[in-house]
Amino acid sequence: MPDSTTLLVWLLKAGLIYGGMLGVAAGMTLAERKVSAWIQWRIGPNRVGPFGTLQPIADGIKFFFKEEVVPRDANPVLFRLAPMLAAVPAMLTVAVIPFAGDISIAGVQTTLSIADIDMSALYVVAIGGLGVYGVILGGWSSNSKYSLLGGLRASAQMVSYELSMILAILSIVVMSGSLDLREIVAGQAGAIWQWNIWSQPLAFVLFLVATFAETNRHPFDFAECEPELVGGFHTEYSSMKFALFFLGEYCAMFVMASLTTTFFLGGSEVPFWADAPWFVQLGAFAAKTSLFLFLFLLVRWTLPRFRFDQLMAIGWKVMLPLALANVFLTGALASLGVYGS
Amino acid sequence: MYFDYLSVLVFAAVGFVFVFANMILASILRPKRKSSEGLETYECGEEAIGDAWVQFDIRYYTVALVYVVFAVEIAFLFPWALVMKDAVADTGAAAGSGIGAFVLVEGVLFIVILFLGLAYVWAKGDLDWVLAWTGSPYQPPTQRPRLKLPSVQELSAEPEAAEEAAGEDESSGSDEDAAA
Repeated sequence: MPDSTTLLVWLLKAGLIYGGMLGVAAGMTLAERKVSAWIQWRIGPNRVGPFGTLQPIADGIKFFFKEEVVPRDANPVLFRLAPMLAAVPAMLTVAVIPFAGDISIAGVQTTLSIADIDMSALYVVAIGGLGVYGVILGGWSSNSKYSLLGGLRASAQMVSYELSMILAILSIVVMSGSLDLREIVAGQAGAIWQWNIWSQPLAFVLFLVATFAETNRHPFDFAECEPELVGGFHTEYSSMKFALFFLGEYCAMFVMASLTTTFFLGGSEVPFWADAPWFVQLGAFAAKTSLFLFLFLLVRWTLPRFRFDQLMAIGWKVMLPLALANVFLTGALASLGVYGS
Repeated sequence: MYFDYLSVLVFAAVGFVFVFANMILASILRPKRKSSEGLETYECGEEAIGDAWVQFDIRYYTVALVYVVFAVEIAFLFPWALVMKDAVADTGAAAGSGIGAFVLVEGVLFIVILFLGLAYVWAKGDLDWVLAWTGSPYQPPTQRPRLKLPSVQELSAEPEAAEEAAGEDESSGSDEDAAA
C-alpha cells in the first residue's frame, strides 16, 4: 500500500487529467460549431462570453434544466443504463495515456498518467471494445424504429473497424516489443524520423480511418445519418441522457486523437530534445493531439457520407486484409532483426 | 504495480459516480410536465405503428459473429507480438535463423489461418451487403385496368374516332398489366 503522499499525488493527477479531458470535450463542442461556421462562411456562436467562448457552459446548464422524456414503450432499465455505458468507457481509456514523461510532484517521481500499468495497449483495446454497448443498448431499448436502425448500423460499423484498429496497434507492438504505452513512446524518442508514422505508414492510415469509424464521425456517421434516421440511436434521448451520449462521443474523439499521437507521433516526446521538462512535453502532446482533433472537424465539414454497403466493403474487404498483411510484414521484418533489440 | 490496476478500478468508479451524479442532479433540477403525447415513441409526428422490437436483418448477426471470431483470434496474436523482438534479440539477431525464424513461422501460420477464415467468409458472400435477388421476379398484384382519358387531340377529332382510340388504349394497357 502506498503512503499518503503518493495517494494525494495520484488524486491530483487523476483530477487534472479527468478535468482536462472534460474541458477538451467541452471545448470541442464549441470548436465544432466555430470551425463549421468558418468553413461555411458564417460567424458561429458569438453571444455567450467573448467570441462565444462560454457557449459550452451555457449548453451544459441548459442540459440540466431540460425536461426529460422516457418513452412509454421503452425498456426502462436499459434506456437509463445506455448513456452511462456510452460515456464511461470513452473516459476510461484516458487512464493509461502518458501525457508527459517523468514529473516530480511533492517529491514523488511519477509519470503524468493516471495508471502506469504495463499492458496498457491491451487495456486500450479491451476498453475500446466496450464502447459499442452504449450504442446498441441505447438503440434497442428506445423501441423506436430510427433508434433500432441507427444502433444496428453503428454497432456493425464499430465492430468492423475495430479489427483493423487492433491489428494496427498489433504491428506497433511487434515493432516496439512492449505493450506499455510509455515504452512505445520512449521508443520514438529522439529525432522526428524516429516516430512510428514513418516506419508504419500503412498502420497509421488504417488506424486513422478506424478512429473516425470508431467515434461515429463523418464520413462514417451512420449512427446518426440525419437525413435518414433523424438522430439515429439517440433519437429518443433528451436532456442529461442526451448530454451523456454527446459527452461520450467527444471524449472518445479526444481519446482517439491522443492514442494516434501516442502510437504514431511520438506521444509526449519532443523532437531533438530528449530531456525536455514535463510542461514542454505536455505542450508537445497537446499540439500533436489538437492536430488530429482539428482533422476530425475538418473532415466532418468537408467530406460527404459513405453508403452503408461501401462502409462494410471498405472495412472488411480493404482494411482488414491490408491490416493482416501489415502485421505479417512487420513480423517478418522483426524476425530479421530490423527493429533492433 | 497492483496499486496501478487498482487505480484503474477507482477511476472507473469515479467515472460512474460522476455520470450518475449528473443524472441525479438533472432529475432534481428539471421540470416534470409529463403529457401522454410526450411519452409516445417518435415517428415523425405520426402515431407509431407497431413495435420496433421486430426481427432485424440477419446480416448484422453474421457481422457480429465474424467479428467475435476474429477478435478472439487477434487476441491470441498479442503474446506473439510481444515476444517477437525479444526472441530475435536473445539469439543474437542472426538474420532469418534460430528462434527468430521459428517465431516468424508460428506467427505466419496463425495469420494465414486468419486470412483463410476471411477468404471463406468472403467467398460465402457474407461480406457483400448489396445482394442480388435470386428469387422469382416481383409480381405486382393484378389491378383493374385504369380508364385512360382521351387527350385534347383525340377529343378535337371526330367523336367516334376518339372513342375508338380510347378503347384501344384501354385494352393495350390491360395487356401490359397482364404481361407484367
